Amino acid sequence: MPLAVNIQLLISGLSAGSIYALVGLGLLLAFKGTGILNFAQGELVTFGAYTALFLSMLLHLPYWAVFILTLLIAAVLGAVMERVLIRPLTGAPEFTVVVATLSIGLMIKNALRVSWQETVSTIPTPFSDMYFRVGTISINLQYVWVTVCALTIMGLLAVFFRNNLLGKAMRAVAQNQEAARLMGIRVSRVFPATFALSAAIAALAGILIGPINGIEPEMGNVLMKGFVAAVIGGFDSLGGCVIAGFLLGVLETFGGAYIGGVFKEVSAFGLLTVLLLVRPYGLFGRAEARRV
Amino acid sequence: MSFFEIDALSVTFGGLRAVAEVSLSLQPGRIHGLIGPNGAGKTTLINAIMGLVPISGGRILLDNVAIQDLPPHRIAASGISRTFQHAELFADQTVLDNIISGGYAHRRSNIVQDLLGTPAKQAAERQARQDAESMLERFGLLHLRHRIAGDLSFGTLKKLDLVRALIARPRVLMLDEPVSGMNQTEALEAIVECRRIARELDVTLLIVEHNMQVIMELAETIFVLDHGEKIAEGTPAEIQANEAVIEAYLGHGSAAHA
Amino acid sequence: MSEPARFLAGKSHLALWAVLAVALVLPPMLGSYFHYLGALALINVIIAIGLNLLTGNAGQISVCHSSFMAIGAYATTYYFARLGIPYLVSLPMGGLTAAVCGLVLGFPALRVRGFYLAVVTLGFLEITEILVEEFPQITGGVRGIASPRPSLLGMKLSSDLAFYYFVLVFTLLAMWFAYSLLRSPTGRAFNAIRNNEAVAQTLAIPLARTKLIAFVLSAFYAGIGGGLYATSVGFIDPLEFGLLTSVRHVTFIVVGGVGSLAGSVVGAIALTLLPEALRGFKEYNEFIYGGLLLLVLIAFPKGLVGLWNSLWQRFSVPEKPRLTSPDSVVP
Repeated sequence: MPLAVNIQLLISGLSAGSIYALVGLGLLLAFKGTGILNFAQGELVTFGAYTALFLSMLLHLPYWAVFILTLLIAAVLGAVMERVLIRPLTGAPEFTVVVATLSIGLMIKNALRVSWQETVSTIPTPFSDMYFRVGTISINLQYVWVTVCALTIMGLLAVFFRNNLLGKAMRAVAQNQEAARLMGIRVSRVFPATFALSAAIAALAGILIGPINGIEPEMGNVLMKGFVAAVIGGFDSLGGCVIAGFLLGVLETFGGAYIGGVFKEVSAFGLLTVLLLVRPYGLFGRAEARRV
Repeated sequence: MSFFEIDALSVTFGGLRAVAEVSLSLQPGRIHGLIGPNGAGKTTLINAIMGLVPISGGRILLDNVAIQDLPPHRIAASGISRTFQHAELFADQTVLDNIISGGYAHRRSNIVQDLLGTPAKQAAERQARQDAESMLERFGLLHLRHRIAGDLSFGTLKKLDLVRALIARPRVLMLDEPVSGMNQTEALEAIVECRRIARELDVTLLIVEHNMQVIMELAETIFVLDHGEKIAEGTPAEIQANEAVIEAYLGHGSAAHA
Repeated sequence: MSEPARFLAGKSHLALWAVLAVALVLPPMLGSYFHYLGALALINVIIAIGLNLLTGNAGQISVCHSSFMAIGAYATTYYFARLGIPYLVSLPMGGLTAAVCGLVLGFPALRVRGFYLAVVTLGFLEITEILVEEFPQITGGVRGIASPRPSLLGMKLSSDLAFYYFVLVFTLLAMWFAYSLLRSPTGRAFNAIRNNEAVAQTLAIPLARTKLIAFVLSAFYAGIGGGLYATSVGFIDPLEFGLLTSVRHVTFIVVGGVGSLAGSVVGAIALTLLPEALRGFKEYNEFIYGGLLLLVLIAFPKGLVGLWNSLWQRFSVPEKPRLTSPDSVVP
């Protein structure tokens, strides 16, 4: 295929990969920080998209305001979710927490579906109809925006975790709750903050996917891809998740173009299954030994 | 003809030799001690014998048959049992179920019978339950049989771990710090029980312990490990007088004898 | 006391007896819709028991339980409707087909644990979905396939009530096998490997073989459930057997009680009937369903059966030891 098409595929793949990376990142963040695998994460993506839709279509706010407000609202939802719905489940068996988060997800999805029905919508962005021309190659800026935005946020996150006090507290709690508590870190404050951050990241993914794939109640199914990205990355390192997400997006896009539509559906799991057979703990993960 | 023998056994993790060419031999029906400073490789040696950690060299022989390459459950089935430093009972099961679990090697019903619930299987279940209850009774723990293991104290769990290991009627039983978590009175009572077990059930014991008084009182032969190597072997009196042993302990800052 | 006697007389089984009585006596008094629903509930009981044995007892997490249900459903339908094999043979064969696939999953599953295992089972789910669509000559592909009711002893089981009792027989068998298994060395081996694989091996429990038995057995249960489901509903298509269905199965055992046979029964029945009861709420039914689920789990994190058990413990009198001998050492 001609170079122009390959470049477009790459841009499109990177943009899809950014979304997978973000979704996986949000999931992984909550998991590392609180030990909870939040299966409502997909619905938080949907929530972010619909909130942005509401703010832009019904309140007619400009894109940047929609962007920031949506992230804030999602953060609040995340914190409230942790405090009100998940905190009571401390000490509950893992399966219980999993089904509980699934139930929360179901409730969010149904609430959104009832409010907005099944129509597919989109949010206007400054980049929707802008194209960037280099020679014969025409690149839709929306895709570039998604990738740039995602990478920027990931960079900010890295800085946050390294330098910011709350970020460092989150890392401490993620590594060892007891030790963090003993060092004076208020774990009961860090948990909602972690969920808030994780929800904001999900909402960001929602805002970014919206203009590209449309907004509808089932869009939370992207969680699967994000989950796969996180697992391929080893479900341990945030960086691994990001790399895996981009890898997945690019592979899927090229595969879909060169091999066919089915490849897109299969590739995520195909990749994952093959990988796990070879490296049972993902690309960057480590096995946990049980000492007796 | 040797009963149980370890021949130049080595266990290496990365570049670290946790167990370095250790050789020792157990006399049937006798009580043996395995001591050494922290980190000497005692628990690793036990794990290696059970097949739970990979061996990088050497052999383990039971009745002159090499067993070191067998999978862990086959090693256990050949008559070698152990207890654990942290008891490791199944926390969500009752005491009785925990103890009966120890008898898997002697199960008298196959999977099909288990599923169908045939009279043969039911009889086997009754027998297994009786075995477990009478063993629990020997240790005065029968009254706890319906309690959930996770609710019990550490000292009780250590005893139950011992009961569970004995249900398998092992030929060789390795005890990993059996009296840790007990006070001196309980520890001395445990000595009485241990000696009784060895005599009555004809079990060969290998006891890893830090409590010197218990080991010197109980063991007939003592092996000393330091940094993965065997540095001494002998009777309690010989070990207490052994310079290398004293050096190993003093050199690590702990007391040589109680 | 013999096992069946203990099964019948156990005090915590009184509730199960009550449920059984209701299951036997109530349906003829109700309309055929309830017969159909009842059969569905019982089928879900069989499926839930299978999953609980694998996940709740043996500790092997699986999100592809619906795939085994699918395999059983399609296989039974193929053997009965296409090959003309008598139903009473087709159904167990369907179960066995699923069981063999359980073995196929079991081998790669041996290499991973925890949620990497969940991921592998997810892969199996995807593969099964693709295979169902790729072989329409057997499965009818995306358009689905009809699954007719059989005749037994000259009687056509087209009546939903008759079929309900037919399913009830299988459900009771399923419950008995699980009950018997859990009180056996194999059942204890399941619980042992879930608790601590290293310790289990020290007790001479063969890790790989025990896991494989768990996968095969749970797949068989799901397969039988699937075969009965196909016959009950009369028509199956791939949409019925996806991730959502597997998640429903997990929900049955979590709400009922993970690792508990009674939990499988209670959870499956409750969560088959609940969505029907919520139908009146139209588009809000899923929201309420999710909300109720959440409330139940917050109130009873160990499942509904956990509540029952803690009530019993509060009110039951401890047994006196039956054996006393002069040799016992009093601590």
